[in-house]
Amino acid sequence: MARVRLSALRKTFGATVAVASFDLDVADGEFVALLGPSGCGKTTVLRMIAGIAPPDSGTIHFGDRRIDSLVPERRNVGLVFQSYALFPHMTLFDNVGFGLRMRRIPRTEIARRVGDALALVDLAPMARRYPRLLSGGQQQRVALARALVVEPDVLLLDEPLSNLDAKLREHLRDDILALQRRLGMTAIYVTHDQSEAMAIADRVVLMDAGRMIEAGRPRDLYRAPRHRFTAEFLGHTNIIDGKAADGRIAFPWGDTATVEGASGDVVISVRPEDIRLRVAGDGPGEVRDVTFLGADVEHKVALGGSIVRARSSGLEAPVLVPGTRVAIELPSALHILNEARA
Amino acid sequence: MLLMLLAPGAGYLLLFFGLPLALAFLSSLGIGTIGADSAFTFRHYVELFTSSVYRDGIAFSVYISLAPTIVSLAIAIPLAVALQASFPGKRLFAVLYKIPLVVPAIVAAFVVMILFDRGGMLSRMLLPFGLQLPKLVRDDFAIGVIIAMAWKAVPFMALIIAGALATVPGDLKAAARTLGAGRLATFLRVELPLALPGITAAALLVFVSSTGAFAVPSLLGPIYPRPLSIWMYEEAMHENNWGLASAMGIVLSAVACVILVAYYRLTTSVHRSAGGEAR
Repeated sequence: MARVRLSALRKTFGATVAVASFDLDVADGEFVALLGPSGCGKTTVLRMIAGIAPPDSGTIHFGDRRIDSLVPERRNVGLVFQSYALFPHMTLFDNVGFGLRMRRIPRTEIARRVGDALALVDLAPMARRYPRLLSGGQQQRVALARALVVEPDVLLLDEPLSNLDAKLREHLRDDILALQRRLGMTAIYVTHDQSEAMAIADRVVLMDAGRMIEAGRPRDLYRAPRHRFTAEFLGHTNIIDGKAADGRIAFPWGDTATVEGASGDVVISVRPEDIRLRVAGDGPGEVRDVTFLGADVEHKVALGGSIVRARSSGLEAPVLVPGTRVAIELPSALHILNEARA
Repeated sequence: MLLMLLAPGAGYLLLFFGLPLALAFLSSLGIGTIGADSAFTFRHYVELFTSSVYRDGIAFSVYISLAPTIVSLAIAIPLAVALQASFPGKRLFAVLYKIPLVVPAIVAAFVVMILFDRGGMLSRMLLPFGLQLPKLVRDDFAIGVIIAMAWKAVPFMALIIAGALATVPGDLKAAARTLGAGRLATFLRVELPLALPGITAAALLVFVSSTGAFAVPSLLGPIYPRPLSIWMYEEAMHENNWGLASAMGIVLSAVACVILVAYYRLTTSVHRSAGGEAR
């Protein structure tokens, strides 16, 4: 367990820049998720930490130990793969014990620690089985035990749940988080699934095109993103243009709102669940489409030349027929985006 | 119905593999032999196993099948590993190393003869330095035969083994490395066991093609012993003794079968226990 510091990491594949000058400081025991669309460089960052992909430049420290020039076997990391990557010719016992054997730990201690690790993931009775006989979820728990049993400085997880079905994914996600908390392990988790990242991480690092866009606590990133990319990547949002003067924003459909210090052209992000619809015969909006999603009902409303999405949930959620004239109620605190990087 | 569906495949096998083998087997027992009266007899087998010349022939046939297989395995496995990596000039190398594949065995035998024989190119090149090559052609240990057969077999084996190694997922290697295994340990404990079926297949094919080799041992092999394949030719073509030649063919096939089964047993048990040392 250690603090992990990445400084000015860079990696190119031919002419493609996979990661461009990446900095990250992960505190001891912190759970960080690297989130981004595919090809954003998040997996490359993880592979550079693990030592599988050597960086072109930059440094990596585990605590005070600089490890970026070390071969993978000298780094003491635990890596969990999307593909599980269990050794098919070895039993679960031998899979989990592999790292300990490589460290020349005495046999009796290997047996004890492998037993403990398999018990930790509830697979102790399966020790003599081969991986192919296990379900995907079980295989990934073995992979987790195999990565944890060597007591790594940092646990690296590369899309570990992406091959599992939805229910199992949530279940195993909670298991991973519980284990990480219990062991106080520093963890870096790569995913393209924004809800998974927000559910599991202390801090989410959002990446795009080899760069960090924004990082922060899941709630802060979701509620108060600085960039349009963040607002759009995390959940759903409505991007609305307005003109501001003297702290008042005027919207294209005629409404106004008060925002402290706003001036000039502004872009705001409003989550669909924060918008209320009110049926009003002279309202500025018209319901175009309604979608029943089970927990939520989503209305698409034509408003001032664009489409605004509004979601409501629960028994009281209105279901309006297309064509209904509505008025829009925006939340009292509006969030203005910093458009510099959009 | 099922039998009818199986008929084309099974019929083909029976007609083109089963029938000749059955005829050879009958002929070896004196039944329907070309140029001899048809009468059941074991005398060809008795002659084969009591004559020291033929017994040496059987042993020599096994020797010139096993030795090239082992030598080419020892070269082809590192070669296949090298082919996994990328290095400058790899494309050219990947073409060049396959040349022996398209060179017929008899040409390979002449290549070895021209290079390694006393008075050949190598010995003439070494002459100014006062060095002399050991006897490598028609020598007692059949070194020349082994060189020629391995030269033919290495690219073939490397091709199959490289294919088998390439099927080992990169994630497995990465997992082994992060768990503390160096390159060599990763190769020995993960890649090699998983590529074993391919390695076994390559070794079997080389072994089997070597048992019947004729051109290479007749050109490069020692005067004595001679492999069964050459004795077969002598008996059939010069002595007109087809019965004995058939018996030799059956023995050669049987030896190949026995060794294949033994090798298969061995490698599958190794495969099964590959991860079992911590118990």
